[in-house]
Amino acid sequence: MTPLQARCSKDSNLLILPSPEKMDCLGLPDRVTCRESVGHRMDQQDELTALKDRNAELEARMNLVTALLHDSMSSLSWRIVYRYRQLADKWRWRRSYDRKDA
Amino acid sequence: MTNELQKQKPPCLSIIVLNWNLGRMTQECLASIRTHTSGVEYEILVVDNGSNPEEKSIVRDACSLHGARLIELDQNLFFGEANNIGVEAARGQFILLVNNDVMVTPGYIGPLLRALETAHRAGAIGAELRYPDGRLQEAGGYVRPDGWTIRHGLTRPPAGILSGAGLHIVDYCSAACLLLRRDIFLEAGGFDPLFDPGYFEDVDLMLRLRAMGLYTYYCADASVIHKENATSKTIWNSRRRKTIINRNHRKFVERWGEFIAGRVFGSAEPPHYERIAWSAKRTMPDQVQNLFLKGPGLVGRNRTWSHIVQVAGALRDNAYVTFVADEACSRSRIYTIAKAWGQILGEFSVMRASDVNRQPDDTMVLLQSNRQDRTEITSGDGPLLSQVKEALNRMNSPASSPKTGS
Repeated sequence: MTPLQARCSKDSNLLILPSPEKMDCLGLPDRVTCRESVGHRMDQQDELTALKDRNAELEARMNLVTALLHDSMSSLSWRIVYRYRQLADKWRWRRSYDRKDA
Repeated sequence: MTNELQKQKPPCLSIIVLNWNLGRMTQECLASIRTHTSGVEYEILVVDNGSNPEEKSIVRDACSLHGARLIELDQNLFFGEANNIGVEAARGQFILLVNNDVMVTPGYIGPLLRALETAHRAGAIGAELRYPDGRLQEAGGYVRPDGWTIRHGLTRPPAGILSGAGLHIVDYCSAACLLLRRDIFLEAGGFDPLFDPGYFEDVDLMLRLRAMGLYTYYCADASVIHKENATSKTIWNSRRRKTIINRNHRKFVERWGEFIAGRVFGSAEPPHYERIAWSAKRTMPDQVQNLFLKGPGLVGRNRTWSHIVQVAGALRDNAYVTFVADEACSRSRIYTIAKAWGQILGEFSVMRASDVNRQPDDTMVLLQSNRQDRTEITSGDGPLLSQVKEALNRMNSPASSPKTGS
């Protein structure tokens, strides 16, 4: 769990954070500092809400891009490229294996 | 019946099921809902979209067997409008829209409700849809920059990061099984009549929610079985369906094109979408008189109804307006149409022509457009008739043409 997640889950049970691997991609700064004073509680809440908003917006965009990429890879041209890449990998591996053998 | 319902404590959840000539399928759907919905107080509403008498009697029996409320419409108002009517009649805080070709599975409702209550700015929650043979049908949906949609997981196995357990923010989820808050649905204006008779209305609704700052989540922990297109296949052949889909795609791109094209590589924000301020139905003071405004056919985006809505807007302080049409109509539809024409409405009711019970002091006016595109009073009587005539004259003058919008 990242420090941000730890902080948020401690404060509220409302946040649905993306999985840690998604969080790493977001590039969010881990700069949520713990201010214990009661006077700062409102500021903290605002800051937390703003972070959750930003978090959700980034997750929405990242999911969209992933889905678009995933979708484009199901096209015929992408399948051909993928198949050739697989073949290339296979023969590359075989050649190196043969050399090692020799 | 209505008084009895008002006395009862409202349930937390209202499940809305539409039916059109598929009584047996609706019966199975209701049975699965009754079997697998637990841990929450709920009611079931079935909206019958003008089925033939035999099918209607099957649905009536199914409703009485499963304790569901039945709303009977005389003609097919299609998916969006029938759902709007169902939601307005619902009493629950949450609404679950379920197609009658859906069979719910054990434990489906808990994760959906939990997600709607706890997820950050959740506007709608959709379940995982599977074909009866177990194949994945949809794990959330996304909108491509060209306006066509991607049903994630339909053509090839879904990406792990978008389909793992838990919640995922998506662009939309199919309304075959969709959970929303009732007040949010109504404030958003419900399903837009622009997309009648079907297709793209659910995607449009969820983008409107996004414009209101709310997200749609796909809940991988809730799964239902969806036969898909069970009703639409019986109404339209594939050619007709394609035509409708293409037409609605054009309308969809016209409304959202800039946002969906610019958000992937740019930073396009969704356009501002104003929430509809619903005025609650309440009893008007005695001095305010009833005005029945009747138009031909169904309430729609045509010149006659544009003028009827404008008359209602002009007389909103002097009269309690009731829109009278041949078939029932949701208040959401009237609000949406009024908003598109830039009209502000006060309190109003909607009534079927056959249900009107007129008192001697009430005014009834029948309006219709003529060949010169002018709306005229075909028949009418009552104390407010002269005011309606004045309002209509102002509208028919060349200076004031209706403000049209999408």
